[in-house]
Amino acid sequence: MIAIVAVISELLDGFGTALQPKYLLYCAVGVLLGTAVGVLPGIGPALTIALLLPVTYDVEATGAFIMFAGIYYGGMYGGSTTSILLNTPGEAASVVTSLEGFQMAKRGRGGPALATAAIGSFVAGTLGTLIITFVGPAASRVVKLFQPADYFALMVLAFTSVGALVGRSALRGMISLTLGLFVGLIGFDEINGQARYVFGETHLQGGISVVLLAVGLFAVGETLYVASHHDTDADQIVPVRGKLWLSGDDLRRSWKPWLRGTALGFPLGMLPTGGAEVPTFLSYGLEKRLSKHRDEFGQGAIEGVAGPEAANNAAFAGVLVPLLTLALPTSATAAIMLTAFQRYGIQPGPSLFTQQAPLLWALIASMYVGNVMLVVLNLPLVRLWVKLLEIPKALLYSAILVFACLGVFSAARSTYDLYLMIGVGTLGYLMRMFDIPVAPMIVGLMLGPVMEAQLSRALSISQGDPSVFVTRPASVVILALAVLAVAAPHLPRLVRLMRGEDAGTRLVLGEADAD
Amino acid sequence: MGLAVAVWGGFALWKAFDIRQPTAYRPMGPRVFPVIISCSLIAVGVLFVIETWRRADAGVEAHVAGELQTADHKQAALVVALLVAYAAVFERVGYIVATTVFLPAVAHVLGSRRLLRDVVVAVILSVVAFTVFTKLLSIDLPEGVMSGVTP
Repeated sequence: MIAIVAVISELLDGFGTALQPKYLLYCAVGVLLGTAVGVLPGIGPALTIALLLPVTYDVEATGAFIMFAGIYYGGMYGGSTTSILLNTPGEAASVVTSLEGFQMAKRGRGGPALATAAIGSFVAGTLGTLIITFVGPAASRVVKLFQPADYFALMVLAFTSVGALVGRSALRGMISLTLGLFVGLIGFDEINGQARYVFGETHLQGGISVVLLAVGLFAVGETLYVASHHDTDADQIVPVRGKLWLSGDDLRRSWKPWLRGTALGFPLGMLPTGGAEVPTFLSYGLEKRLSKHRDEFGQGAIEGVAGPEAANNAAFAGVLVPLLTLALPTSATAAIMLTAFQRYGIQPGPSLFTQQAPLLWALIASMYVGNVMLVVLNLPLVRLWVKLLEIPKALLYSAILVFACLGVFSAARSTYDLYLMIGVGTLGYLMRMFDIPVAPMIVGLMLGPVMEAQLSRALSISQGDPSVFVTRPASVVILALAVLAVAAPHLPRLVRLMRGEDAGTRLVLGEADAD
Repeated sequence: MGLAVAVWGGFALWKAFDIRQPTAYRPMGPRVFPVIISCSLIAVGVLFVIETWRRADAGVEAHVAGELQTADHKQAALVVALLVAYAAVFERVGYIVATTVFLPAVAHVLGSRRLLRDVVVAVILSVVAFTVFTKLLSIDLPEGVMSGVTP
C-alpha cells in the first residue's frame, strides 16, 4: 500500500515536470515527428532517433528522452495510416494492419479503420504506461538481486528468443544477431583495453557506433533495395472515406480486440523477442479465431485492425521495462535509445528508478500526455499525413540518403565513417535480398560488449569456474527457458519423429507475412 | 545463394584464426569471446548452407530466388557509386555544392524525371541543413568552394 502511494506521488511529480510548457513542446515535437516518419515509408523511429542523436548535444536529457519516446510511439501510430490507405506498411509492426485495414479503406471504411487504430493505440498506450508505472519500480527491485551469471544467462535467453521468433526463419534471425555480435567486437575491448579487429585502422579503434550501423542498414540498405526495384512511381492512395469516427457497432467490435491486443503486446514487448512485430501477428491470428465475423476477415474486418494496432503500441510500453530496469534492448529502436541514455552518462539498470527518479517519472508522465496528444491531434490531421504520402518516392529516398550522410558525418566528423556507412548499407542490401532481418544485428551490437563483460565478471567471481551458470537457481531457470525458446518451434516435428512419423513443417510465426 | 553463404563462413573462419596475444592472467582473456562468436558465425553460416541446400524452407527460398531474379542490381550499384563519389568530394567541394549535385543524381537513378524540381529541392534542403547545422547547432560542415559565399 505504501509502495503504491509512493509511486503515485512520484508520478505526480513527474506530471509536474512533463506538463511544463517546455516539455509539452518536446513531447508534441516527438509525437508529430514520430507520426510523420511512421507514415513515410523507408524511414522509421529507429533511424530518426539515430539521426537526431548527433544534433541533440545541446538538449538536456529529460527533454531529449521525452522527445525520443514520443518518436517511438508516434511512429507506431503513424505506421497504421500508411498500412490502411496505401497497403504499404510504413513500419514492420504495421504489416498486419494492412491486411484488413487496406481492405476496409477500399470498401469506403477508411475512416473507421483509422479511428479504431488511433483509439486502440491510445487505449493500449495508456494501459501500457499504467503497467510500467506500477511494474517498473517493482521489477527494478527484483533485478537488483541479479548477479553477473544471471545477467549472462538472461542475455543468452534474449539471443535465442530473438533468433527463434523474429521473421520467418529462425536461422536468418540468428545470422543477423551473430553478425551484430561480431561488429560489437570491433574496437577496444572494455575489459582489457585491447584493440580487436581494427586492421590497423585508427578510425575503427572506437568501434562501430549504433548510429552508423542503424543508418547504414535502414537508410542506405533500404534505398538500395528501392533502387533495385522499378516500382518507384507513386502508389495508389485510397482517399479517406467514411466518417473518422466509430459507429456503435464498430466500437462494440473493437473494444475487446483492443484489450486483447494490449494483453498480448505488453508482455511480448517485454520479452526479448525483438519488439512489436510478433505480437501483431499473434493478435491478428487470435482475433481471426475469436471473431463472430470470421467471414469478413480478408475483406476488411475491423477486429483485424483494432487488435494488432493495440498490440504494437502496448509492445512499445513493454519494451521499456527491460530497457529501463535491465539495460536490455529488445528492439532496434530500444538499442538506439540505450545509446542515447549512455550519451547522457545515464546507465539504465536496476538503480535507475532510484538514481534518476525525476527524469524517469517525467518520461513516464510524458507518455500519458503524449498518448492523449496523439489521439487528439492525429485524427483531425489525418488528411495532412496523407499529403506526406504524395511526396514522390524518388525524391524521398534521395533526401533520406542525404540526411543519412549528414547524420553520420556530423556524429563522427570524418569521411571514413561515410565509407563505412556505405559498406554497411551494401551489407544491408544483401541481407534484404536473402530475407535476413536487420534489426537483430543492431540489438546484437549493443548486447555483445555487455554480454562479454558479464561473462568475464561472472567468471572472475567464481575464479574461472564455469559451473556458476548451472549452480545459481536464477541462471538455471533462465538458461532452461533459452533452450526451450530454441526447441519450441521444432517440438511438433520432434514429437512426430519420435513416433516414427514423417516430419512435417515446423511452427512458424508470422506466416501471414507472405507477400 | 550458397556462394554468398560460403564467403560468409570463410570470412568467419579467417576471423577465428586471427591471432591476438592474451594479456595478464584473468579467467577470461580478450580472446575468448571473439572465438566464441567466430565459431557461432561459422555455425550459422554452415547451417545456412545446409538449409538452403536441403530447401528446408521452400516458401522463403522461392521468395529469395524471385527477389534475386527481379532485382536490378545495376541500379543499386549505381547508387553505391554515387554515394562513394559523394563521400569522396564531400569535404573538398563543400556540403552545399556536393549535395546539390548528389540528390538529383540519386533521384534520377530512382526514376525521377523532373530534374528542375529535384535541383530546387536539393538547393533548398542543403542550404537549410547547412545553416541549421553551422549556425544553430555549431556543427561545422565543409564549406568547400563556397567558402566565403555561404551565409
